[in-house]
Amino acid sequence: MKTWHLYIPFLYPLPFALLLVAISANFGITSVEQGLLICFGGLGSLDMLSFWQILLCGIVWFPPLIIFGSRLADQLNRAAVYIFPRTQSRMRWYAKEIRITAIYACIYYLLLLMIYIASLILLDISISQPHTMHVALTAILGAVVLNQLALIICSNVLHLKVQAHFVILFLVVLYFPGQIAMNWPHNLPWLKMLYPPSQTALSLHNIPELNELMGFYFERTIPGFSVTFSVAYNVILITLIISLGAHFLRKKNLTV
Amino acid sequence: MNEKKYILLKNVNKKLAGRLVLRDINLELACGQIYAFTGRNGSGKTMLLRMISGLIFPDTGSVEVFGQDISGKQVFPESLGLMIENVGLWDHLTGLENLMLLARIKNIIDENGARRALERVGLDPDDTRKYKAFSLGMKQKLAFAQAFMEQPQLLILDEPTNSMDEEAVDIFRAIIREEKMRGATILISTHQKEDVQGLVDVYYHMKDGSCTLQEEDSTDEES
Repeated sequence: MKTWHLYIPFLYPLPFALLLVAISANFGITSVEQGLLICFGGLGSLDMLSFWQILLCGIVWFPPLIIFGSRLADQLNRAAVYIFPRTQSRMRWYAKEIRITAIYACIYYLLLLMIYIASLILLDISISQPHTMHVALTAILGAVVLNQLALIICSNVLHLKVQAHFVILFLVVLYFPGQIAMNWPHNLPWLKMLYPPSQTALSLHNIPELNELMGFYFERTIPGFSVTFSVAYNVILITLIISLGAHFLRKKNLTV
Repeated sequence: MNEKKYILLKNVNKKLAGRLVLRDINLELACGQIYAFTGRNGSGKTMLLRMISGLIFPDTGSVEVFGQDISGKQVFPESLGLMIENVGLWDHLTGLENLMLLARIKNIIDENGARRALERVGLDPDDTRKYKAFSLGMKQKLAFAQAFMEQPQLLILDEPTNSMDEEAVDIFRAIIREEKMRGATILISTHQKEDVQGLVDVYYHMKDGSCTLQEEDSTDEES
């Protein structure tokens, strides 16, 4: 069986990565870390204070949701009629499809990051702190990618198909709580820790060499915040969503 | 009565979107027979077949298929071949690839079995066209092939002759006869009664969610 068409999704990150490079250049970045902070560092990509930041937010957060967010819903009609009567186990099919979707989404983000970083280096924008780069990448992976994964799984479990619903999901689950968390009074700093995109910035705060890059975000950070917390938090978030999703699917009376 | 040889629906009611789609259904279908369910669009034929296949559950009442209670549970009848109207297969695969994807789930048949099923319905197993390039009639034939290819005990066919030409209908009738001789129980919903004339053992007529036994040669203008 020919399978080359299965590799087409691996090309999806290319145009988006190149767009991010173009937007980053517009911000006048001077290092790869600065570019990563602006595009994936959460606070920059979700502040949406200007047209460029809104565009940045859209490019970072929405394509994966649109590409992967309705995969399960698209397949369900066919699966319910042709696959479920043969397997006698719907949950196994759900688990397999969500696993495949999660793998594709992870590959998408990894390729997006790789193309973005490589493009910046090709444009003579260098990595200014090579010995701490792995921390920056882990922070991004731990916060943004895992959080986006949670959103994609949530969208699939909810059987979302209409793209407007993805926007609502994003705004309700991520953006508005995040804006409240970022701008909440200082006596409730823990709210900032629950906002995954800002976790990237929070964890980078602990790297002295990158403090300068934080700019005005510095005052919104929390000392002592760690990447470990960010990764653990998002893993728990995904596990919770999958568990709730499994419970929801078990209860749902599947119809065609 | 040996319940393992019957499909039993007792006092089945089902509401969808606030509308009663199945109303007090009581059926006793013996195995090895061909049953046809006729009626207008929206009369409940498809809902009834989906109920018996396990795709939907009754709000009240019970559904038993050859001794297996499938009402309110996440189970399907053990040996089921299903063809539901307006549900397509995978666009990016050929006809044979689609059948093989399904055949690998239970591993009852191999590639030769899938090829035989395609040949029986008049499709070329070596056709390299993808499913999305198939005509409606070809898609219908492929859906029928996947339903009977594993020789299930129960065949449920929803509007199987839609978009089929005369030759395809003749092939369909021949396969139904062979499946009955094999001992399968076959449930067909149709509003093209002439396509199944002479094949069916028992006719039921559906109207507003209710089901009544019909004489085979009665001239019911509504169907």
